[in-house]
Amino acid sequence: MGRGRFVEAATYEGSEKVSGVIVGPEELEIHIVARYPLPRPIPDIAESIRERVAPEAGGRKTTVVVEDVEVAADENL
Amino acid sequence: MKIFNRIAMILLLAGLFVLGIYMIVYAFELFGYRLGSLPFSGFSDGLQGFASDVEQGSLAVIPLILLVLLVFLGLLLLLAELKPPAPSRVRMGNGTYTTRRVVEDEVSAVADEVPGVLGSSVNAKAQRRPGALVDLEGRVRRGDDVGPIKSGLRSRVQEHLSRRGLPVSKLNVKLVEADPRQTKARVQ
Repeated sequence: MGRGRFVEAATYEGSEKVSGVIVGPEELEIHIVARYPLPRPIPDIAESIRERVAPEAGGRKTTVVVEDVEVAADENL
Repeated sequence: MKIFNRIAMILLLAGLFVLGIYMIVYAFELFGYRLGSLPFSGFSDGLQGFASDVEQGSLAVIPLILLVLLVFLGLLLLLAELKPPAPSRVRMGNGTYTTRRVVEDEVSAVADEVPGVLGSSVNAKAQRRPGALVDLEGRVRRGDDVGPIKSGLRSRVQEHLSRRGLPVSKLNVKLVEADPRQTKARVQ
């Protein structure tokens, strides 16, 4: 999950903090970081996340933001 | 426009602060300053003269030009204020966005691999419509034939971005000659 670039992307509920998700009354924003090698084009990955999450969003407008694309750490190193 | 507003507000508030101090000094006749010594009569006479000139339609040329300029300035500021701010994220599709940095990193990574390009700098701007506006500046060795390098760079970047699925509405490629000692790579 992304953490936001200039403003923290997180939702606080009770004593819990969920990073990478901003839940508003009308809108739901999901921040992700894609990782190489990419299995599909970036918009396809974002769209599939949006399609998976939208039914659980309670009618909120769902937005997916790809914050960064990073190289995965090599586990053999 | 945000910066302009901020500067205008700082100047306005600073002016009000200074005027407020003057008002206190003159109102309480501090340090020997008195309200009676202020040249209010000349100012009010000038203002009255100006108002009567406006009413009679006999304004001089310079005040008329100044008033017209003032109207245009006000119109420009109003339009600039009404113009919506540029979006900060690059729109990919319906409800999907990416940051400008992702586009810049992807373009920069592939540009640096193009033969003949010793280094690059990228600036991506988000738009209301899908796709980013990308300005790419590639640095090449002095004396190199820039035509093939430019077309190769453009096609490689477009191909890479379409493979990644990052939409670009416009790609501006510019090549500049650079000293290899000051570029990212000396040989490509």
